[in-house]
Amino acid sequence: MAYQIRISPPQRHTLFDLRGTPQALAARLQGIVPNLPTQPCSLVRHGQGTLMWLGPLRWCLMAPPEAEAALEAALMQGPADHDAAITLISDTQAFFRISGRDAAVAMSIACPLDLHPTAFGVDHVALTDAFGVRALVLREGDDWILGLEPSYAAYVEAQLRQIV
Amino acid sequence: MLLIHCPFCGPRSEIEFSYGGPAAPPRPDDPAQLSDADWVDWLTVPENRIGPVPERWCHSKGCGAWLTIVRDTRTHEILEVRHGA
Repeated sequence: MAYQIRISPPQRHTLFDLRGTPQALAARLQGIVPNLPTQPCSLVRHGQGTLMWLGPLRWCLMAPPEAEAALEAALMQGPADHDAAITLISDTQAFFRISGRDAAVAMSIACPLDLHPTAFGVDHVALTDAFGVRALVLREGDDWILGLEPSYAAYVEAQLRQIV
Repeated sequence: MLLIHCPFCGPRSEIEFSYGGPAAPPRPDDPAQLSDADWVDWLTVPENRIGPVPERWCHSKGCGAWLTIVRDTRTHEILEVRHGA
């Protein structure tokens, strides 16, 4: 029996790496994202932006490619801050969208996370391993977003297509 | 396979972690006051006892935090996990 999975071609998104204290980052994000996520490995959406909490002092802001210039102008204005570092990293990640009836099965083969809805619900996000590569996994409704370093995209796509 | 409870991420597979060696006792305040034997002992001779052993692990493919884990070398049971040293 073949799995029913659709794998989008790798896509580029606008991506900012944010590191620092919650207070300093909240100040820098004023007018862009009203609140930081309150639970580890969760996210908040505002407008076109998705802010993900990925580590004790690490967040990631994702947005469509066309929003990059405006977001960069908004985030990079003002003097450098000792307590908050914001870096544009759009070129460091390629994103697959994995959908279809058996998308969760494909993801559970790809990565070691417990992906049961009670453990990894909608809008849950995590940094993990996918086929041996560091990866970002995000559950978006019934679809899954898999982000990884672009030079591994062809390898990971081939592994995913083997599942199909 | 170990299941390590990262304080930030929750239970995660050992695959996501990198072993960072035994958790050494604190660095001596003034190494110049130690004998050569004591300095070499602190620097290069890890404890290798049977039972609960403190170890450093990095959640390298997850949140990136360095953790100290107390692992029982007889059973692999993880008795304690905490951030930092």
